[in-house]
Amino acid sequence: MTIYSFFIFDRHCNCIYNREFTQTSAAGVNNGLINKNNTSHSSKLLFGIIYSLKSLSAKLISENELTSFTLGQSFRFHFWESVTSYKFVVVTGYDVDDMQQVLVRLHQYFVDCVASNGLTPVEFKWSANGEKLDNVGYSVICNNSFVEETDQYLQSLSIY
Amino acid sequence: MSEEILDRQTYVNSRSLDFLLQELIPTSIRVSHKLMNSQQSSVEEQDVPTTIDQQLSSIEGDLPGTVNVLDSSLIHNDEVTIRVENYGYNLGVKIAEVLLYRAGGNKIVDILDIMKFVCRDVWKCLYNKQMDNLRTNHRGTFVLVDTNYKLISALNSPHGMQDTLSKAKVYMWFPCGVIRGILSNFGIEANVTAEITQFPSVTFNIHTAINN
Repeated sequence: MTIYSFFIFDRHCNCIYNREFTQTSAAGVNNGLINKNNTSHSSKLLFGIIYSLKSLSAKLISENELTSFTLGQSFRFHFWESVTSYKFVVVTGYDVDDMQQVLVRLHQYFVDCVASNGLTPVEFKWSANGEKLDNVGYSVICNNSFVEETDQYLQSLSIY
Repeated sequence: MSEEILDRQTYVNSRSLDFLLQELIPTSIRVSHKLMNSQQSSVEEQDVPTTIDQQLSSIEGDLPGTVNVLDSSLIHNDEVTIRVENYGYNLGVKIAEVLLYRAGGNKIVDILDIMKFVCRDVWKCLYNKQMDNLRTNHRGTFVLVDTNYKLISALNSPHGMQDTLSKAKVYMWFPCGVIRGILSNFGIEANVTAEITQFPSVTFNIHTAINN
């Protein structure tokens, strides 16, 4: 049981938060990458897969929302979308079952530390062709309180 | 009859109030910016619904949902802070009467009672908590401490603590105005300043001319 990474996508399909955990024996401080792969192919592909699976599942079974899916024998992707179209994705090991409560909780942190925070934007600025406009640091979520609180929460879970 | 009107409480969602108060500073900056450039664009504008790609002011990058407006050099402009303080003052003047009416039983005799009124009733009404500490030197100076001031407690800038503090300082003019407005409604001229001692703990210093 492992948590590999955590993504947030906004309604413009951009990856606004990307946290990758490296599993080390030393517990705690800042292991892994924060906001390093927002524009990488893997996060774009992940968004693409989720987008198509979501519409597929909506067509196959109406009233059924996509919550998680599995790739191969090693990864499970947990998905939750807020009404404002922020998509929360957590990638875990194959054997992790239900993460909906966790994702809802992560959204609560998002509301507390990003939406209620007057110094952080809620519209993240990217150029039309999917490049970060990184000159001012307003293109991704990078304020400390959000990073710290979500890290702390995810690392406190038994599945981490 | 009038009692019924006050008792028919309409509650405001506290999140909505938070968001509204947060918009104080950006709005004030936009107004100042517009007034400064008013000679250029004197054309009357109509009310149009705001869309996501509509510039809210001619400040660079000022689009809905973004916070670039706070990086404008106008944020520490006197005109902006005075306007924010004024918003608070007007609120304070009005809210003092309503709350005093509702508090009813409490007799307010001297200035210390007024300060207690601010700490208890006013803070309870605005932030659903009381001030954490009230000190006085009995010579007209009062120190009110709120160890977790709600208006700024959620602020956290991606540029680090320094930036958070410098922007939070502007927000502090609003509660200063509220306190000054309440005191002035009680007939007390006061000078209120706020200090962020250890974020998000806030100390309000109130200087009055009254000796008690």
